[in-house]
Amino acid sequence: MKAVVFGTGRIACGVVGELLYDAGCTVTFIGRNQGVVNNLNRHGRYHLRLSDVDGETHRSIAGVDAIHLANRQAAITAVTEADVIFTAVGAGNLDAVAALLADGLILRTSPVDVVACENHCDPGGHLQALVAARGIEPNDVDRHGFAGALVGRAVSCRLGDVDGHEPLTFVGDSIRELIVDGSGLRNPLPTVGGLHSVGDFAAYMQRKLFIFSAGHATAAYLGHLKGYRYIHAAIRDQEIRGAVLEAMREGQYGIAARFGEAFASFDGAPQRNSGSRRRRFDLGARGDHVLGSILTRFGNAALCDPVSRVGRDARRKLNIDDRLLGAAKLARRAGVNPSGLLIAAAAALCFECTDDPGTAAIRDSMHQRGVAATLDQECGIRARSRLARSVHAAWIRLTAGDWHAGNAMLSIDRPQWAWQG
Amino acid sequence: MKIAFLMRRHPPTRRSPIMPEVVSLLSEWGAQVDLIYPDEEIVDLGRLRARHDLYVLRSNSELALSLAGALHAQGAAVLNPYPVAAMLRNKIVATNVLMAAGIPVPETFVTTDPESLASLLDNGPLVIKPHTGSDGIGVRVVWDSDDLISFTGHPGPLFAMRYYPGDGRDRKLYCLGGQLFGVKRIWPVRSYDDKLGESFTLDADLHRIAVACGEAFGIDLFGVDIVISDGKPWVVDMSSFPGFKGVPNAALRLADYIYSAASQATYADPLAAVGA
Repeated sequence: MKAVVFGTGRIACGVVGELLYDAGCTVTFIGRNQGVVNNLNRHGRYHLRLSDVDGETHRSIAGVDAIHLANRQAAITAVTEADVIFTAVGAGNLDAVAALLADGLILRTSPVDVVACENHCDPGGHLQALVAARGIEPNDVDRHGFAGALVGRAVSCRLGDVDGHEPLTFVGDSIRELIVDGSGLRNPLPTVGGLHSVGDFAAYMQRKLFIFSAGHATAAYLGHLKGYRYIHAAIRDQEIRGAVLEAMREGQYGIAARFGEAFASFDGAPQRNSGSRRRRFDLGARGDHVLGSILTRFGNAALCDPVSRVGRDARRKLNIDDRLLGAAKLARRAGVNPSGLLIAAAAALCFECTDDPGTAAIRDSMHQRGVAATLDQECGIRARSRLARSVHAAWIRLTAGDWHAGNAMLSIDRPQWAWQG
Repeated sequence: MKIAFLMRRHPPTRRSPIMPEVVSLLSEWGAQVDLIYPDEEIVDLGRLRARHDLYVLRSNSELALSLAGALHAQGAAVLNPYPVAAMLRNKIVATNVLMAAGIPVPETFVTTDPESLASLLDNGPLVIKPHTGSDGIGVRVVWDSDDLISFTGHPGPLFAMRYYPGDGRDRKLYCLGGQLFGVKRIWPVRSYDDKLGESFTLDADLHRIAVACGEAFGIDLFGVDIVISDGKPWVVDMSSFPGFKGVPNAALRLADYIYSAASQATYADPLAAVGA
């Protein structure tokens, strides 16, 4: 079975490549990083360093090759010959992939599935729309499958010199899970443990976003405020640990109200309900265990995951439907006060990261226009809405009016800064 | 990732929990950490090799500093870099650098003859310190020229700084990876709790001084001692690797910083290690 993977980065190689290799596929990566493409072709393999509380596992993914995105004809040929196609390029880069995909898909005689492993609310639909926008016949788009996918594994970095004599190594945790939106598929997925399709993909996506991603973002934004460099250090700070747990629990309650307590505890399929207001939830020991496991993952130093990476693109992460404020809305609908998520959102407004336009937009807007206008214009939250007012109040409570770039927060519970401006 | 700490062992009676916790955290995070006590070992200079990704120069002994210099010459990464640590070890050099940077430092004199300082006492008392001292050891306030006649303080040059009585407690300013922290502390300290002092928020003046001190030496890990006298802050000492006592979550912050420094030293391309 031939598989094509657009992307040569952390998710493409660190997650998708491994599953396809284990499924017996020959994998061709298509990427824009010439050094990585050359390295993959030179060695025909790369390494994975996967870690959890029990230690590290090293393995090699062999039999791979790669095509540079600029080698258009070779890439189109690969698309026409593939039995399954994946993308893991970052949602912002899908446009370039769509152009090439369109040219390849139109030449195909058989339908193929394109699985988009991207940070987007509807990755499959988004990619399909981008391909359709290339002006090809609707039938040449619709006969193929387009599905989003959720990546369970955290892959923090790539090690090694792309020009060196050794294969590259991707460093991640040991979680082996890629959940694919079954409603978008035309063919069965390759059969391999960890790769599976689900019916209510949106439920799975919200669960990941509002629990795991919300906690991850909370650790990053509060970690940044307190001056930590790595997630594994930030999560050791008891104040941050408490805040992360609180934010995840609020997200979990929202998910429980919307999709059932079993699903929120990762112990069953989603069962949509009206999300009626409830004050009490019983997620049992399983619910606590899930959150504890996530905290343990955040504490995994082998990932060497910088706060600056996890907090990147604060504008997207502060969007009204994203991990913090989307989770806060759902929690509120369930009758839960999302105070932890609001504090995390307030901290995100203070985030600084060089070379990150999505964060620079928030920073510049905060300096020029303040909290309400930033939420309105950058995050799509009307300034007079209850949510905006809540975030604003949390920001005032968190910063005590003394936030300056580069300042360190000494305490979250009793807001105190290292220095005054 | 291999990290070595050049340490000096303290007497068991001295409470010093921060560095053991730092070492424990780094080990837990997967680093191989070795503690080296140069003052307790015989070092074969012919076999001295940089075998660690990072050397943390925590000890302020002459031998530890010299070994750090030898490792630096071999290309080892040393925290703080040896040339800066050496400058800060010598109060004559450090004070001059601070003065040149326009940082408020009390007027300071150096001599080998204690009695030559007598005329300076007409303008007020002096604090006399060993020029390579630390931890307040050998520090004396001299008010009267008779004290100079009987002075048998320490060998080597005398470092004499104009004494300004503090308005209340001294201020210890700490910089850790560019983050600044302040602790109010009595002097002299008598107990571990005295050393912990009280964390406080730096005002704009102290913030500016701390930033300028770091810029003067090009480092982001250091400590500065400040005396505030008649409302005016004076920098009376600066150290390359202070104890960070009283800084909230000091051990965790320090471990985080050292882990980052070691990562950058380990991976030739630090960007590759932070998520390409």
